[in-house]
Amino acid sequence: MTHKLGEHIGDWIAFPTPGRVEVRTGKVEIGQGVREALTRIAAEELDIDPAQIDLISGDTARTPDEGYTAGSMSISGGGVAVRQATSAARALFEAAGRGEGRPDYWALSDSMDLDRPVADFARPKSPAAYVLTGTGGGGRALNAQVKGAAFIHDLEMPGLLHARMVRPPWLGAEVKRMGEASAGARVIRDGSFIGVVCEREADAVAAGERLALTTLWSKAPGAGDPLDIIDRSNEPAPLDDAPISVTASRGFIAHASIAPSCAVAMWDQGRLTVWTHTQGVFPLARSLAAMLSLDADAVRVIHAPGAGCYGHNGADDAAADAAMLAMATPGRPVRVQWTRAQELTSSPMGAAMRTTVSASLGADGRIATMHTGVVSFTHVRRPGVGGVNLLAGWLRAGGAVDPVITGPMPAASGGDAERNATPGYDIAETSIWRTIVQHPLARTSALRSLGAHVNVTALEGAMDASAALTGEDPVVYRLRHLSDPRARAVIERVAAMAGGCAPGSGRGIGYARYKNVAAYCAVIVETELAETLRVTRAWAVVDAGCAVDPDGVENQIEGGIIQALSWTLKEAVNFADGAPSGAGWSDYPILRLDETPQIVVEILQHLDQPPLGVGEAACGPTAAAVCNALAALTGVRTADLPLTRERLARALG
Amino acid sequence: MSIGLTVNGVACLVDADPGQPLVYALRNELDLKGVRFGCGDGDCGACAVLIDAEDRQACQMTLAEAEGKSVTTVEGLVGPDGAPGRVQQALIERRAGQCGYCLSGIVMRLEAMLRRGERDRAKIIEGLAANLCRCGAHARILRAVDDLLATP
Ligand code: FES
Ligand code: FES
Repeated sequence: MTHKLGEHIGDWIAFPTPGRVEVRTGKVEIGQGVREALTRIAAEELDIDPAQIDLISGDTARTPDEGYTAGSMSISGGGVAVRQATSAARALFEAAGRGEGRPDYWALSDSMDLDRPVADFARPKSPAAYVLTGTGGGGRALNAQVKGAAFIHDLEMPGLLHARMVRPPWLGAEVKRMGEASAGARVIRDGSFIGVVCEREADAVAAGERLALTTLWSKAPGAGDPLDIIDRSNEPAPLDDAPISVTASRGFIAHASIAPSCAVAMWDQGRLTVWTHTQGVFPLARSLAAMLSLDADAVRVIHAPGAGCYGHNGADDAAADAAMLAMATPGRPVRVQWTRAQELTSSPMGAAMRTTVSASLGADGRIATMHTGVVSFTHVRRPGVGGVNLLAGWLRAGGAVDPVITGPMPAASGGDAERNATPGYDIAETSIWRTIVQHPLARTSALRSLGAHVNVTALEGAMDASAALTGEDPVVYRLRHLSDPRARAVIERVAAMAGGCAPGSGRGIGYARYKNVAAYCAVIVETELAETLRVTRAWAVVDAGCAVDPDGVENQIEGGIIQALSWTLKEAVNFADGAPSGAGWSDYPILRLDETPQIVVEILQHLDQPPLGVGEAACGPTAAAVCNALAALTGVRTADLPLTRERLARALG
Repeated sequence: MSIGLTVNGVACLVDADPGQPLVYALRNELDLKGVRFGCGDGDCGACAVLIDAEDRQACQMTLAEAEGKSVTTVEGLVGPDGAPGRVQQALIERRAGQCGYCLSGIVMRLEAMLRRGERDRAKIIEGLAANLCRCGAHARILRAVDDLLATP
């Protein structure tokens, strides 16, 4: 009988050699620390040393299909799945073994049939028995990365060819005149899809640069600045009688990973194998098969770690580039790596958006109504979501850009543009209105926290503005609107740690429960205003339910704070002729190490509760805290992000 | 044409295009994959290595310019038993990274500053401003710096 990979214990676990355990997961390491947490969970349920576990992750030929590693669900979804499966394995072995304590897996494994349903045997430990869950630091986590090869970029295989891409300056540009690459370079072209392939990497770099310089493209159609579309959108005006109206907005945000996207592909005897740092090996495999008109089982996609991934970046596109090039070089693996400029301008971007929250107060000073309007570019354009959505498929001859999905994502997955637009506070009357705008040259998709970055900023701005109007302390005012004890606890604790955030203190608070169902997070920041706005200190409290790897949770919150500060203070993609532009980091500054605030994070641990996704939880609250601090410091409320020197000067007059 | 240089203490002859950026020669000809490529423009610090005692960005010099010099990469800081060097160890202990892609460059920058005898925290942070980290491990990296400064 066939079953879906993942239903049976043997899909998740094997005992190949004495002392070793192979655990397979469809979730992948994207810098979020999932390997550490999943290893710990499996070791806990099997009562073995984490060092005995070999974690196999993200391989369409070997691991269960767990969709995308996204939405802060690596642990709340993938971790729970591993816990179920490994506990089921242990229960099976216990039933077969004799005596007390941990069964001898390796002695029994030959005679054991693991082809049994997880659901029939799963018996996770009681949290009271946890030894590895919720303790310790991340001692193993970075060992390989600081010593040598560790990334997809470092893969070596016999006969490896090196490639670089030449990109059109705007989506839809056509080649007017093909340029020249250097001698010895092979140019592979299909419509506007152009790559150069060489035996040596340095030669591919030089050939790619030369070809890019000498190729002429058609002129951009002058489609106008995409941000104007948001400004022109006919969002309903805030209610006339609403005393509070707060708007937050941002431009397009680049993923801006420190490594350029990279992939390796091999086309051999009708079979395609692709190594990639995608977030979803299975969806990517299906999209590649569709794009290349191959049978689904002719495509194998294997995950290899890239640099930090914060959403739908260039990884899938690079994989498609490598696949197209590999099909032109049968029998030889091809490694493609993007340039920094390509990484910053031809990856999907985080969506520009604008959110307005209008609120009215009741006689008791509490918020009685809150209406939220969101205008945004799409946040959902992943491969397989509404189309193939791979750049190579759009660029090649006869290729067409897949349509944008404008309908909302199911509320169960947290929504997209309207993520966290629903207030987490007890408010009698709320409504949300959302519209998705489009521009042919602005390609956007999922970036960490989706709409929550801007929505929480607007909503928490409205909370602060309401508190100010009633003359109340912003912490006390929030607590008046919260009955959920876990929400109250994170706010009370962060206020205690920071010593409050009274008006005039240069401090501001932001709070949200991510997606309204995942981790609770409250952040207070302290700011100084000189020529620019500088954040000097940050305090954060998070309730992630059962925090399996607390140091990993802290790391995610700290990283989320720094990244959100960077978005909020500095980041917006530049446009020229309506298309994303920029040659390198000097065109897209991010927060540097000499701009680091002091950060203190505390976790409210609940070992007996389900784990709650934490990777994106700090983004909205951090941005909100910064804007609220600015208002506390200057009396001016602006959340027209990023809060660069020029914009501050304009807002502060 | 062969270029002679010392790499992690070993004398090497590299038979490759001398005009290529050192970062590719180290990664591909000498298989030192711990040298990371980030931008190729000198803007991110991911490719930092030691040239003699100085921290230099390997994307900003050619293989030929390294001729006769002594090059040190993260691989060269690891002990014969596989034990990480002091800076690597400090970063590991603080789990001062998420993906860790930026860390090679940060290790080498810190190593250079400490070898120069730099003990001033503010100066070290100023030096590290040349290295970008997108995962936001900033605060953890600075804690590792404090640990290093606390050890004589
Ligand atoms: S790769 Fe050399 S500085 Fe960025
Ligand atoms: S840890 Fe990922 S870039 Fe620094």
